[in-house]
Amino acid sequence: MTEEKMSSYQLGMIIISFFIGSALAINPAVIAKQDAWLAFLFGWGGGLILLWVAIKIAELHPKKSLVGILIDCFGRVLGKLIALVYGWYFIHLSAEVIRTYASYTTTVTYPETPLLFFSVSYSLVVIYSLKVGIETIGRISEVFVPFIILVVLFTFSASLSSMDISNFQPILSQGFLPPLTAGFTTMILPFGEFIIFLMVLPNLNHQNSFKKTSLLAYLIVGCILFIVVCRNLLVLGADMLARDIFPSHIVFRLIPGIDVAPLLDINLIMAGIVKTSICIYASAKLITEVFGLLNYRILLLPLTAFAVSLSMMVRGTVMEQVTVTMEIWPIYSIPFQIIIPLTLLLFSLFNRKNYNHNRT
Amino acid sequence: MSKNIKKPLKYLKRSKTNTLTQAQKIDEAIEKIPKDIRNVEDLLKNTFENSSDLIIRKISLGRKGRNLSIPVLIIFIDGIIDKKLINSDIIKPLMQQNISFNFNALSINEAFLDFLKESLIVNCNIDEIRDFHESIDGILNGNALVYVDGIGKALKVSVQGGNMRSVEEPLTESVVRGPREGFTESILTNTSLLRRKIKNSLLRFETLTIGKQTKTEIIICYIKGIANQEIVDEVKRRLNRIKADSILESGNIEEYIEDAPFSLFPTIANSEKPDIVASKVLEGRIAILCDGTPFVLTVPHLFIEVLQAGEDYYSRWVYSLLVRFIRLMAFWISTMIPAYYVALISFHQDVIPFKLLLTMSASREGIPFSAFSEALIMIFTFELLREAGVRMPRPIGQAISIVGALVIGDAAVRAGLVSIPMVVVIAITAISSFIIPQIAGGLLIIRLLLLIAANIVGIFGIIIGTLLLFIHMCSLKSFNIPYLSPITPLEASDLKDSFIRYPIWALLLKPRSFFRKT
Repeated sequence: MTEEKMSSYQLGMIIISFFIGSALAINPAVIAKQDAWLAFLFGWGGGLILLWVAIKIAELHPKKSLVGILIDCFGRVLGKLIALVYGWYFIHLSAEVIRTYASYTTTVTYPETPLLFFSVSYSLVVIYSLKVGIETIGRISEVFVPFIILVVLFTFSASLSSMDISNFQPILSQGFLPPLTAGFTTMILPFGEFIIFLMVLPNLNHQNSFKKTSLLAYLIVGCILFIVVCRNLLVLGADMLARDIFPSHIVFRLIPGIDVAPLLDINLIMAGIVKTSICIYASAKLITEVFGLLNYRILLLPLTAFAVSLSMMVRGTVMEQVTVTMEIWPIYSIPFQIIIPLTLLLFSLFNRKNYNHNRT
Repeated sequence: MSKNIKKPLKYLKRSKTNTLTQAQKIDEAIEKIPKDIRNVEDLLKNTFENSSDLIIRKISLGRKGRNLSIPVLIIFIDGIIDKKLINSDIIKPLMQQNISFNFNALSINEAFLDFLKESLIVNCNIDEIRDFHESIDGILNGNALVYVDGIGKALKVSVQGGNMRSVEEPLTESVVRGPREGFTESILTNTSLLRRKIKNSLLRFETLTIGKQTKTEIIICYIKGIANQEIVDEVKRRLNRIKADSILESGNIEEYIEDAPFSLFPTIANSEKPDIVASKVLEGRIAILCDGTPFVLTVPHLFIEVLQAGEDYYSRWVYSLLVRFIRLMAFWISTMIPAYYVALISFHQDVIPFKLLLTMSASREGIPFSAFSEALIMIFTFELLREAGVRMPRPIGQAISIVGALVIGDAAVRAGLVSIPMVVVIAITAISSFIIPQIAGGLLIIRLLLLIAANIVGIFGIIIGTLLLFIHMCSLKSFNIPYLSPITPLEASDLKDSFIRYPIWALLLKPRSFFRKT
């Protein structure tokens, strides 16, 4: 098997579709009602700090994946243990995405078809794209992302007529607390997941461009999702926005003249497939490195099958799904997205000082 | 998983039976041409076993009698040589000079052969041959072989000829504007057509012989310095790896060297027109010419070439810009429209505008089939008619088209078998697939698969199917160049000649995609 490399442009595109993946369907910023846009900005800003932490860790450990970094900082045994926990987290994350997507489809378009059918057919595409390699996933997202951006811009301009600017008011009616808590959730839900790219990083052909690429991609993703949040808020109003399970879908249906709801389906699957593939790829790669296996490809099928069955178990109804995703999932993610990365950063900064000290 | 699939496929591989006959095996033992001419004659008769098209012409030089005459054999195969050339180049000078030179059997030595070669035989291309098999190959390739008694060498005189089709306008790629010449079955004519277009000493032709039985001549053509040397080496490596008995058409080579033999998309292009092949060679592609067919292969083949036609570059660029879009639309229409129609009719009636829905349901009233089976019937009927139209002799083809028009169009609707919208859908699909003939076969299969997917879960099925198709196209490579480049991986400067065509003075001649480092 030849080594799979991707260009920084492709990595940027993967990052963009990764973040859009689930945020198009469920965006936690909507809890803040008419301040959703503000909450989103808070979350985006908070995510920037997490992004900086991840980039800094990667810079301090050049050419190493998350497993290598963990082993560097915590030693072989503890490092590998934590790495395995991360592997679990990535699988869990992919199960979340699969579930979100499947329940979106059953709720919105096919109420009588069983959930499993969609999970399975969706994961078939994931398996195929993983089978042909991470390089191909980069190429796929190169085409997907411009398409998604076009659709977002199109729906924004098409729904201009049904927008009401007064939906922004009253600004900060309950003080800063609701947008801040919603912002924290937003920071965790799509943006904190960036830590997963530490597993993809060794595939980049120009390692130095990682920082620039991810910052640029992060900026673009912020803009896209900001447009989406504002569009949904302006069209639906604060009350509807907080009450709808999938606000984007309602907005698509409200576009006058034509029914473009299938476009949202396409967008969701496109971004979702990239996100799920990256999650599964990351955990497969992680397990391979922890146990010193030769080829990660053999793990792809079992891991995806596991993720599908997990996605069937983690939630009951759609309402439960949304509540858990918005309220419990962020708390569950805190150690993986904040605590361990921060510890890693501290450890590696400390190590580097020691290292430099020893050398001089 | 893939191993389990590949196992049964092993049986598809051609068994390596030994195709050499007994006679050929005996021959391989003898290498040098025997000195005695009677042995040569026996050997030749053994080899060809009195094949009726082998002609052995005996001449004797010098005076008759007293064993002083020198027997000379002229061997050639009738039909693939030019008899006039043999008469005028070999037989006439030998016989005429026979009188004036007074040959003597005693004076026979190697110098005599040189004398024949340098001073007697009137031909521009003569080779001296020691090996007997080489001499047989020479005979088979349309040369006349001249054996002289007592020397153990032969002269190969190039007298190729026979009946060949002249350069005509090809039937497959007709143009309104542009050169009308097309390649022929003769490989020499084909190389000359290319050489006349590209007058550059760096244009290289490299010859290979492939096929144990057919010994087909294959020529690789590229411009040194423009073509990527890595791809050239790869092409040579793959061609040399071919172990086949027969190569009758370039399609046979294509199947041996293509990257994805199980894919629906071809990764090697073919063309019948010298101007198209020349432009591709100028872009840095490599052409593979095969003797006996007017179809010339070019590699690497990218998806974007399906949308390009030679005429785009000869007509006004604003118009060809539009035409490119039409071809892209044709690709999507011919793969998706039946599937979308079935999905909308059976699952997503709410997406159809209300008035259209009324007309459609009115026209579907009384049709006994579901939209899916209707579509299947129509696609199948159309393919039957198309196949019949292609295979039929021309005069009957007319009748087929009339019957087809009546059956597909009017009669089927009146009989209540299919609805009118379905006829429209299938007609549009069929016309679109004619616009991009290179991948029409693959498109049919994709169309059917998407139709089935649409029948199961509507638009969701189409989306999943399309994504699988797209991922598949992304994963394809043609001689290490990604099939979908320059779209993905993105090569911005090459996009000038993709879905759009810039004016010819704004185009780069040499696409950068071929030189991307992976």
